[in-house]
Amino acid sequence: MILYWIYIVITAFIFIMLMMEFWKEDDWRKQIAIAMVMVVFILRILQIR
Amino acid sequence: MDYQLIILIAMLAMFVLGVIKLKLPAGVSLMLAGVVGALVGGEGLPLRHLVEGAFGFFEPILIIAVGMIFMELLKSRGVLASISVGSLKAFHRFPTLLIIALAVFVMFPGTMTGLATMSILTTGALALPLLIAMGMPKLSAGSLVVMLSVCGEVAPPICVPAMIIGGGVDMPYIGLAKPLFLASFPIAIILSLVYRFKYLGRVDLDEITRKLEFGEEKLQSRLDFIPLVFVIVYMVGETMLHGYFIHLGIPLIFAIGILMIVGISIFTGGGVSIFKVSGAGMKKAMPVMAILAGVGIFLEILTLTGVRGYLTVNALFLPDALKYSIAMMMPFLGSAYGSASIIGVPLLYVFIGKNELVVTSGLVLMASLGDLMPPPSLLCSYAAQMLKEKNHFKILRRSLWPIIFALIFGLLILIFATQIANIIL
Amino acid sequence: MTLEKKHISAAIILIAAAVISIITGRQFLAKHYPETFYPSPGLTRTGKLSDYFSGLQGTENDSRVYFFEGEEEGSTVLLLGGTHPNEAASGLVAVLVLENVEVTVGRLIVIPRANRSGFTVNDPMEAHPQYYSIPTPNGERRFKYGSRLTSPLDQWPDPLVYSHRPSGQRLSGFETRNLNRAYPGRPDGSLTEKTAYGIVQLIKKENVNVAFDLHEAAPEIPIINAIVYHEKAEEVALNAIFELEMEGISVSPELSPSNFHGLSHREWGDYTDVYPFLMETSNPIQGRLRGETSAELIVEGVSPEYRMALESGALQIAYKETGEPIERRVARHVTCFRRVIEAYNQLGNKPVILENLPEYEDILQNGVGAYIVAGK
Repeated sequence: MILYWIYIVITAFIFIMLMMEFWKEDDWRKQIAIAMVMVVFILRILQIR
Repeated sequence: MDYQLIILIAMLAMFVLGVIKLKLPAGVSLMLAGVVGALVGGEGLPLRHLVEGAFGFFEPILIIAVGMIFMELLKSRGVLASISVGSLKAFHRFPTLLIIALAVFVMFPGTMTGLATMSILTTGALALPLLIAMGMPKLSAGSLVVMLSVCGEVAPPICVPAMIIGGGVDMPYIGLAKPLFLASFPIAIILSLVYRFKYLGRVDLDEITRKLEFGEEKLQSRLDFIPLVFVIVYMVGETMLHGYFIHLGIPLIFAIGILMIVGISIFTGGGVSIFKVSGAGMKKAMPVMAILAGVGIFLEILTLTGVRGYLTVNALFLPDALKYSIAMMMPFLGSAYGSASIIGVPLLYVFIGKNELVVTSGLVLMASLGDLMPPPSLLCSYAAQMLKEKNHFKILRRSLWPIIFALIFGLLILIFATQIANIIL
Repeated sequence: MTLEKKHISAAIILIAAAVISIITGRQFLAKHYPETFYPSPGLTRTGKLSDYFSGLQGTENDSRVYFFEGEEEGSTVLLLGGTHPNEAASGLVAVLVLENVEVTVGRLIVIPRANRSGFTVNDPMEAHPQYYSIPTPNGERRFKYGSRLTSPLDQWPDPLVYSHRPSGQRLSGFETRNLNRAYPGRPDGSLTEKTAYGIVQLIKKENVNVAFDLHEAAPEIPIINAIVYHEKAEEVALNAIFELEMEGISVSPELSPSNFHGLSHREWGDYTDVYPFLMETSNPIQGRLRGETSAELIVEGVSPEYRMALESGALQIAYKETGEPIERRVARHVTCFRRVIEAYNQLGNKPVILENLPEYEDILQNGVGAYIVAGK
């Protein structure tokens, strides 16, 4: 169970990094690509999927 | 024309349109192809399926994200450069031995994780500048490294595509080591030797060291090797000697490596900006992460609309020669995991009666080539990124003969599966 | 601060992503409700798996256990449904038995949702529906359709390689969430291993004599329309199969391989005194050859692609031209279940007598819905 929460923390860290890259990204096309991955990460972090 | 065929064509058309006309990233184009497939298939806009599909390769996505940050940090501390130079110094008198050692070195992370991407991003990244400095043309070095990464993915002990096929037919992951070894190491060695005799002459250590411009990426401290050693040892330990190592999983092993680097940099000075470097890593990992999410969506919609079943069933009607041709098609799905699951699993049934372990290893080899094929051309685009080459198709083109060679090798394994099994098993 | 163009597009894309997350998130969360069952008047008591292993308390897999105890003493039978929540007939048969059975001699224990966690998710890339409905005379009854594996929200991350305890057998990492690769289970293991351990403890503490693990498989899987038995239960299995063949129900006998570990038919038999039986029917939605994937496919079992494959003769598949409808799959399971118990009784063991269960033809004619409560 500890491992589970550590993984949630890792996922959250990656999500934050994705978010930062998302705001820095100039090209809307690449913004969509990042957003696709962000959806997956946020649903896991919030323990929804 | 069958309706499923129309759906498939619509999906492929959307993908091509997305990549070429709209200049969208491959991952986004795959998602849009999924949306179009669902619409044409009369499924409306199945949001849940799109998101569900994107979860298909969540674990590899996580591994790539964390692994990339780890490798970027190692690079910023000069560890990678110093390994390249070190191995060169050790082996420069024996170029043949050097290149075989390099081949095994490049394959190593893939053999441990069953993910070709891991090879190309870690040891592949180390080997590339070395090969180029030794006189190998840029594109050829790229093509050798991507082929070796594929071999690493196939090689035992961990081969995820074989696990995917086994999981699809309820075959335990047992007894595959020898067949997988046969499907990977000979190819790696043969290709390395061909490249060595074609491109490399005598190795002039001084000249190469001069050419290798690592500039500011000087090794900060010898302690910086500790995280790399830890990551390698723990990965080997967890997979081979799992009785003695607590299960952490690759993402966490990398994460611990990251924390170690940060700790060492505080201790020894030199500093490291974790957020800046992580951001750079994330930028590099982003295309693959999106592709993996996109492939998952694409596959989910193929399944939802029945195109997957349609393709599989039609394969059954084919005469023997064509069955082998279908196997030859596996790389063209553009994803090792995707084609192992979509084509590999049903093909194992098609070839029933032959030794299933050997057949699996042949199929895995052919499926794994998918990682360098378009649409995503994952491995090639990574190699291109490292080589600062804009057009990754150039690397793919240079890899044409090695790919054909590997495909034929895989085909021969399939055809002579029974005989091979009698000899090696 | 000037609003840059990239921030406008970022905001729009972010809102879109948030909307998608919220819509789909609600659909994912909606699967976490507990399913309601309507046990027959024959129910004498209920319990939970945590009664047998406290480590399951408070987890998703603290499944409910239903007891049907006869007036007369006899043997004890365990019926397990929902080991793999994507094998619809398995969970449905357990519900049908639960909502009809009367036990006069001996005891019947039913666990209709062995791996409840698996019912809360679906497998990515399989395009499975979240639910399916069975028409009953009083309206439709909705059931959850789940994943073969424990939810990653209850057990994460998977190891690279799943090493089964205590055999040391290695399997793909994701199999660590497969309940039917986890037996005999471990009290300090993963949730899946704990669940397996709890079930084995129940078998031991309740002195279960005969145990059933219901499954379905893709039509192309070699072990199908089969009863898999442990060697010590061979006589019972073969007698039952003989009886079934006489009735025109073809069932292939499969001896549990002694070297394939973690499965109920192997480990229940090796670690307890029970006679274990695992039964398989053919479910097209699990197959690789299936066409359009939908809830109808679960219920009607009609896939033109399988028909084509059948006609091609290229594969050994268990698929009838008219499809593999849920009625027939449920009827097979119910009948096999009954015949095995009868064979067990006839071999001079302390008997178990179950009553008020429909016959094979009844289920085929009236449909499954005639034997379950409509629900809400």
